[in-house]
Amino acid sequence: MEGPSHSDEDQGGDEHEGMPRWVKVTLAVAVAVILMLLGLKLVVGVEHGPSRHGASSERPVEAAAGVSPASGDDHVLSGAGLRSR
Amino acid sequence: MRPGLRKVALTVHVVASVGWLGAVAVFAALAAVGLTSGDPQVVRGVYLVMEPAARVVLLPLGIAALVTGVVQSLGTRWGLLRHYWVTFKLAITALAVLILVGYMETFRVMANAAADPAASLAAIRNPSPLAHATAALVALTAATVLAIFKPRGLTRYGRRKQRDDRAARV
Repeated sequence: MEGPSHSDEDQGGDEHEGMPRWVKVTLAVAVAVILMLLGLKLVVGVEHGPSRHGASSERPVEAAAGVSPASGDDHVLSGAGLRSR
Repeated sequence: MRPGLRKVALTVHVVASVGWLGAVAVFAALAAVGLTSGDPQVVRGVYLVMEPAARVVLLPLGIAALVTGVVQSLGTRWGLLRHYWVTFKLAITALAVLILVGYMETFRVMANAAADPAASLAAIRNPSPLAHATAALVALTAATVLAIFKPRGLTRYGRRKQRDDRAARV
């Protein structure tokens, strides 16, 4: 990164008070996206982070009893690797 | 910063930043494969490999991009908080690194689930990595665009420093 080359200083300085338009637009878009994500999370109730897997990995999905999983997955992992049923 | 040192620091910063962007793109592809593949070995392999790859490649590149960016800013006249584009880029990078640090635990949990022979593919598949990688791609591309176009605009602090610098020169 070299010295300012666009440059606010070289081109006579940025004497305008207040934020440039691109900053205002970017901030508005960022706030809108954050609000949209928060709203989505509240409405849909999306689980986020490790908790999503913390719950599912503890579930005995495919037990030795031989009950087929709800997903219809057709494979289990044996000691030697994956094998098809 | 001397010109030679500045170029070395800039090279390291560009390599780390672009490398990070490329690594995130690979993670997005892996996440898509994990969600769509019908091969159980592939699905489990995807979530198993994400954790070490994030620990060895993704996180170091992110931290390197952040640190070298701060060094670049402080070592040149751009400063860290003088120009809006530099401040935005710093915020994007710092936020991305923070989220990544927090997400490392998720990678570990997903790898544990993938390694569990009792877990079905439905329990292993997770749309979260694809969502996060896509968001990261957008954010890091925006940071790259800012670095290339350098849109005008001095912060209040930047204007004050500019006035001080001009006064000192007179």
